[in-house]
Order: sequence, then C-alpha cells, then structure tokens
Amino acid sequence: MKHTTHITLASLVMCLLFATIGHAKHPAEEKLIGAVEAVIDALFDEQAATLSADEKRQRVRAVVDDRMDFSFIIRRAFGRNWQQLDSEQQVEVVNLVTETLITTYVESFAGSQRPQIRYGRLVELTSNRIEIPSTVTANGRDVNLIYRLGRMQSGWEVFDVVAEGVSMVANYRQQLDDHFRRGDAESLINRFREMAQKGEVEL
Amino acid sequence: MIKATFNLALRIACLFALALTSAQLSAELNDEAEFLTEDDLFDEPIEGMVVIADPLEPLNRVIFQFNDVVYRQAIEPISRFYSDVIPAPVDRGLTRFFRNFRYPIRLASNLIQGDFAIARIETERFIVNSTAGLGGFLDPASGMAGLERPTPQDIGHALGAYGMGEGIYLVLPVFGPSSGRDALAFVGNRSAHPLYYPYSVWDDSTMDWTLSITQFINASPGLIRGYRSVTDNAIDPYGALKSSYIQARRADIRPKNLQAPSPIIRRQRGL
Repeated sequence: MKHTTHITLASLVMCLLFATIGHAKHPAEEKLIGAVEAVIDALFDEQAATLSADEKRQRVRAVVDDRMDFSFIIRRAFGRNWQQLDSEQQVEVVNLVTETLITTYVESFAGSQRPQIRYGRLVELTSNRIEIPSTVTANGRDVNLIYRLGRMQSGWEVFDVVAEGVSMVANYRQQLDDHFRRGDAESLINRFREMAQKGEVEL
Repeated sequence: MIKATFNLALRIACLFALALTSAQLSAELNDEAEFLTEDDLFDEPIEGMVVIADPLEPLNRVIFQFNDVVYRQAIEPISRFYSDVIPAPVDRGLTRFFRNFRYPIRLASNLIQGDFAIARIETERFIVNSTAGLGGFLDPASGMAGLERPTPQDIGHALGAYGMGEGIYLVLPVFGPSSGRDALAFVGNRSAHPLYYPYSVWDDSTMDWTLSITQFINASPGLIRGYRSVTDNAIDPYGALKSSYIQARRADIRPKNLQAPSPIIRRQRGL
C-alpha cells in the first residue's frame, strides 16, 4: 500500500516537473504560428484545391476574424491620425484594410505551391515586446519576415510586420502623415474603398 | 537503505517542482503589470520612419508617373512573356548565374568595408559555384557549411557604412528610386566590374549591352512583382516606393564604428 502511494506520488511529481519545465514555447509563438498555419491551410489544404479565389479569400477572412486582429497594426500605422476619424470611420477603415490585406495575401500565393515557413529564434526586446523572425519559401524564392508582437491586455498581438527590412507600419505611417497634411478622412476612406474594390475585381 | 534514498529523492523532487511552479506563478503575476498600453503602442515614434530630403519631389513625381507607365505597359508584358517561355529551372539558373556574375561588386564592397571574412566567403562561393556550379547556374556553395549566402553588398552599402549620407531622394527614368549616394554608387558598381562599361575588358560595348539587357529581363518578373506589391495597395504609391526603397537600403548597411581608432593608431598607442 505504502509502495503504491510512493509510486503515485512520484508520478505526480514527474507530471508537475514536466508541466513546469516542458512549457518551452512562448505563448506568443504558439499563437502566431497557429494562426499562420491556419491561414496557409485555408489556402492550400485539399478542400482549397477546388475553390475559387474569392472562396479562398472568404476562408482566410474567417480564420483572420477568429485568430488574428489587424487593428493593432492599423492603429499603429495611423498613430495620432486615428483621432481624425470618427468611430464609424474607424470601424470601416479596419474592415477595408483587413479586406485589402487578405486579398493581397491570397493573390500573392495564386498558382503557387504551399509555402514552407521556417521560424527563427524569438527575440525578447522587453518584457512586453518580442520579435519572431521567419523565412517564407515559395516557388524557389525566400522572403524574410519579422513579426513584431506586443503584450496587450487581450494577449500577444502582432503590431508590425517587417518584410525584407521594410516595416509595414513605418511605410503606411509615412503615407498617412503625408495624406493628412493635404487631405481629410473622407478622401482617405474613398481611397481604401477603391483599393478593396480593385482587389476584389482582380481576384 | 534504498527505500530511504528513494524517499529523500522524492522529497527533493517535490520541493524542486513546487519551487519551479511557484516561481512561474509569481513571474506571471508580476507580468500582469507589464502590458503595453495603447499610448505606448499607438503614440510612440515609429522605428524605421524614412526622413530623406526630397527637394525635387515635383520632378520626381513626373518621372515616377512615366516609370509607372513603362513598368506596367512595357516591362510587365515582357516579364510575363519571359516567364511563359522560359522554364522555371532555366530561369532560376539564370538568376543564379547573374548573382554569381556580380561577385566583383560584392568583393569590392566588402574589401572597402574591411569585412575580410565575408570577402573570403564571397570568393570561396564564387570559385565553388563557377566550377562545380557550372559557371554559376547552380549554387552548390549554399549547401556547404560556412558558405551560406551573405547579404549582398554593393558600393552604396560601403559608402553608407562609413557614414556617407543618402543625399537627396531621386527617381531615375526607368531605373526607378535612388538617392544621391546610390546614384554615385551606380557608377562605382559598374567600375568595380571588369565586364561592364566604363572599364570593361571588352573593346566594344555589344557584350556589355547584351549582358545588361539579359540580366534585366531575367530580373524583370521579380522587379515587377516587388513594384506592384509596394504600389498597388498604397495610399500614395510614390511615397510608398520611396519609403520601401530607403528602408530596404538602410536595413542592409552595416555601419562602421568610426569612433574606434584605426589599426595604425592602435599600434602607435600599443593597444
């Protein structure tokens, strides 16, 4: 009886140790890799082979709505310019930009083989900011991407993507600053509408 | 005796596990206070923002519009035709050939920067790929330990590494975005290569033109893809291309610490 108790206790301790030590992957890594893989599956799994480009876009949109939030990237790109939009415009901008990004993503993999993604070692910049480097290989070409994530109240969120040294947020912030020096929120939203519609037509 | 040792080991393991668990819980509780706030994320200055003088903006925008028509109406159809006609393995072989062919420029840049280890890697890669890689059409060097492809460097990177500023932003007809420094480096890149004008080993310019045009057509699908990915979804395509070009160039520059004493001064000081 005592022997059985010892064995049970030993098993419990081992479980506790493994649970503690084996928790190696950073939660941000788990979340990001899971989301990226889900998007790739939506584009390249067996079911996707028979789908039109628009149906693929809808599948990706469903994954994005479920597992990602582009609003952090969009709001960081806007910076203080965000206050120049009213609340309805803010919602519309997030929706239009998300739609445009998804369309571009689906378009860029049209006719392509399933890309291979290698993730590099996570870089902890501060306790609430990290970078996850990765290399996407598709059709014999490598593209280096760095995901920048921040620890928000809602969890780890991507707030910038750097492709081959070019920060998406810096690129858009520059354009938005220039736009608001000359134009207003309404003309900007019209431009986003044009971009989203153009993408749908091209798909 | 065995039983006593087992009991002791079990107790130590229990304590160790409890200590690890409580440390992890306490770290998680402490982290609660370390969320990023909206002010942090949305109002702080953005790393990588491009500040470059653009006094020729009105003229640059006209040339940008001209280039846009040339890229979409002339070069894109050529690149599409090239992609349709040339099988993918041949296209990749040609891309590798021209990459290997630009070795003298990378060598010159790395030597100017004093990066002798990278210059050696570039040289070894050139020898391996030019021989075992059938003139550079294959890239066996990338599969060899220590010979992975370094970030390609040109004369513009070398000038930037020593602190030379970008100068003003320029848009060149057909060639596209550039800067004062990179326009100067364009001449340097050609001068560093023994098969390009103005210091070509060939007497006439036919071979130079043939090589340049073939290289451009081979690169055109990638160039058009890159151009469209930057400009198609831009609020201001001109601004987007400027930002992307300058960010990408800056990302590849390896700044030298000019404050550090030169090797001669170090020797004089007995360092």
